[in-house]
Amino acid sequence: MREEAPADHHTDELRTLVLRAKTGDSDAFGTLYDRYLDLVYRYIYYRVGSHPLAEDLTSETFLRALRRISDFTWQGRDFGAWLVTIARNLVTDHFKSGRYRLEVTTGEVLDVPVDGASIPENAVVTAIINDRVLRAVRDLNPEQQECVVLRFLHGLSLAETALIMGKKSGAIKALQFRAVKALARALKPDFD
Amino acid sequence: MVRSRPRWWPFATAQSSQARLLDRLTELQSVPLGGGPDPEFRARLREGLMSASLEAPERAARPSRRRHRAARVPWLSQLVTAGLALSMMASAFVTYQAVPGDTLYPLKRAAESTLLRLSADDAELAQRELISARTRAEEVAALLGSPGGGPHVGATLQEMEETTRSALSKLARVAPRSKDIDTFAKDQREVVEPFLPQMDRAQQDQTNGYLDYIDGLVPPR
Repeated sequence: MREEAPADHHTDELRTLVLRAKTGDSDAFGTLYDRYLDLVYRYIYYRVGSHPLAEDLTSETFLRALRRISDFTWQGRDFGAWLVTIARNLVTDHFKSGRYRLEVTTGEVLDVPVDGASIPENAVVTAIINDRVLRAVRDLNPEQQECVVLRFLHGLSLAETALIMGKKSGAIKALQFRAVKALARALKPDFD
Repeated sequence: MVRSRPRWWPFATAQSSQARLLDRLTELQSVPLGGGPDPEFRARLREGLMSASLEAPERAARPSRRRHRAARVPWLSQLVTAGLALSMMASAFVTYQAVPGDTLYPLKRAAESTLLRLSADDAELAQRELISARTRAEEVAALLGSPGGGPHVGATLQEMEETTRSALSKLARVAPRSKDIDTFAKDQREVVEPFLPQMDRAQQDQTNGYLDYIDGLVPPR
């Protein structure tokens, strides 16, 4: 998980990139795209469970970001959170349209083959446990699920998660605490 | 000698299992969940974004325009607010001055009727009805003084009488010896009587009947 440390070289570099992109520097926007594409794509894919749809929504997210970047105000390391917020709104709109429903199976999400003959035994065990963990995450309520996904699967900070979910950091902390407790209960045999 | 914890010891077990779970969740970050975006898609989208961003200089100029617009907004909104307030005051005045036949007259009557309905008790309602009756008398005076007001005089006189009777019957019940009745009768006579010569025969009969009615309410001196 990312540390919520004071501004460092990385933050300065990111800030410069964002400011350059705001003035219409396409190279800067391209660098930001390279840096955040995986985060946005994985977030969307985890929510929608389909690669073609994830591609559509990811394209729309970056196009929107490009159109609105002049409105973005730099307030710290929150550019990724801003992108995920756009993606989140698009996913919500997509499901509100009623044409699709949220149906993600961990089998679809987990790319590691759990029954491959050529992979080492410990990798198989790890994959099985990961599969169980992801299934348990899927069984959490939607808010807890999103909190766990953003915090752990995407490694976002408390502040970034709070920004995306429209809550205060304290509320995210409490949400995470309850989610982890619920997961621990559900996965008791695996982690005892 | 180190004593091992009994299996039923719940606290440390719960804590360590949660810690292991947190570790596992954190490790999931490096697991290729669902895989990343297809390289072809990555390149295609990048190319599309780069060509779309060719309009960027135009967009970059937009914030400054927006700032000018934002600076104008308080002026505009103040102007609009002041204009609205003025027009509301003007329309309130015109509405207050409206007489039967005017476009805004129904609005005046609606406001009056709302005020009557909001009365807390019969005494308050009676007082407000007396005010309405006075207003009708003033309207009759205004109608008689205007060229096109004639057709509305009879109906307005009728409403004045009905409102007066309604108010006075309530006052007679809740405050039979109220001085308001005397004052009202005197004021109404002063407003209505001077216009008798301008009325036609039927209107004069109607008005005389009304004046007789309110005179009958004033105790003999």
